Amino acid sequence: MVHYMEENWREFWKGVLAQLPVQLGVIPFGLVFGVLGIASGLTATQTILMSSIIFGGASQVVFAQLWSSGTSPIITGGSVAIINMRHIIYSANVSFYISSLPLKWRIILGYLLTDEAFAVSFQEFENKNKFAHYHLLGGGLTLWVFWQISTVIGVFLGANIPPYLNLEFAIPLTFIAVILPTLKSLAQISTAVTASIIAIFGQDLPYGLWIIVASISGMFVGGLISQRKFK
Amino acid sequence: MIWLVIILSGLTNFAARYSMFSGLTFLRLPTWLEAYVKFAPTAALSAIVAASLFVDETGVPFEGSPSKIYAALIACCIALLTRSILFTIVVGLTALWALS
Repeated sequence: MVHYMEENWREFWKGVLAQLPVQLGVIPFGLVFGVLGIASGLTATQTILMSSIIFGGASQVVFAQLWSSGTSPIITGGSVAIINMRHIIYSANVSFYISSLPLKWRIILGYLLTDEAFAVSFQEFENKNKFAHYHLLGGGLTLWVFWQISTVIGVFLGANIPPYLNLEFAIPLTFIAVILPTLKSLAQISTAVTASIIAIFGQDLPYGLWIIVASISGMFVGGLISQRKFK
Repeated sequence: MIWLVIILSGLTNFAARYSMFSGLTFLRLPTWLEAYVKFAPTAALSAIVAASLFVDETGVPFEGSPSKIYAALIACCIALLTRSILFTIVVGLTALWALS
């Protein structure tokens, strides 16, 4: 350990520290995904590598659920893509800063830009912190490591967790915890209500299309209402 | 086949995250579309929650387990009060175990 640490690496470790409490939520989510992956009929290798290749909790769970219920590959891939569309917004929010970084930084930070990483490091970009990219790197890597380890543990505990524990119920619970506090505007509430109603009554749509129809309808209603409000 | 879908999903996910870092101006999201895209997480995630609570295994609406709905209602209160994923999961699961 050197006695003097350069400012950029101090920022890196600040990012790591800021992410640690968030891991209290990430670890059970990763465990549940590992368990769910196996329960959905994916192999251990598929489940574990999905956490590195896709690296997006909610979309991985949706992938496993849709795949296990025999949904077509195109709908499964399309649903994952729709759920991950929000990252375009995160990307846009920090692009003024990151676009000017070297290519390797842009690729690594692009790969690591998850909900939690964005949420924790965004303020550093807003504050025009000169080393905000180190903060995001530290936080993003922390999330990545915890996500991989908890997935692996979940995969190998999978066979030992009795089904009556209903652990998969942790997934809708996680989404409730993420979404509910954000339902503050009429537009957000209308989005949630529209998407929910279509999800409930659209179950008979072929190929599991309900998730895509519900998502797009919810986005459409939310977008319309929010724009009307600003006029 | 499944590997192809996993890898393509990984690529689309990376493309979304990297899109605005690319420096390519034609990739800038038009403002009108941004207004809709920001509702994507709410829309997709509430659809999944609703389906998991109100639909049974065979896809029949309002035939889901009532204990899940009560547990979810309790979890909603915890989510609003604590904003913690961890507490929401712990209390929600405990409620489900107690009720069923």
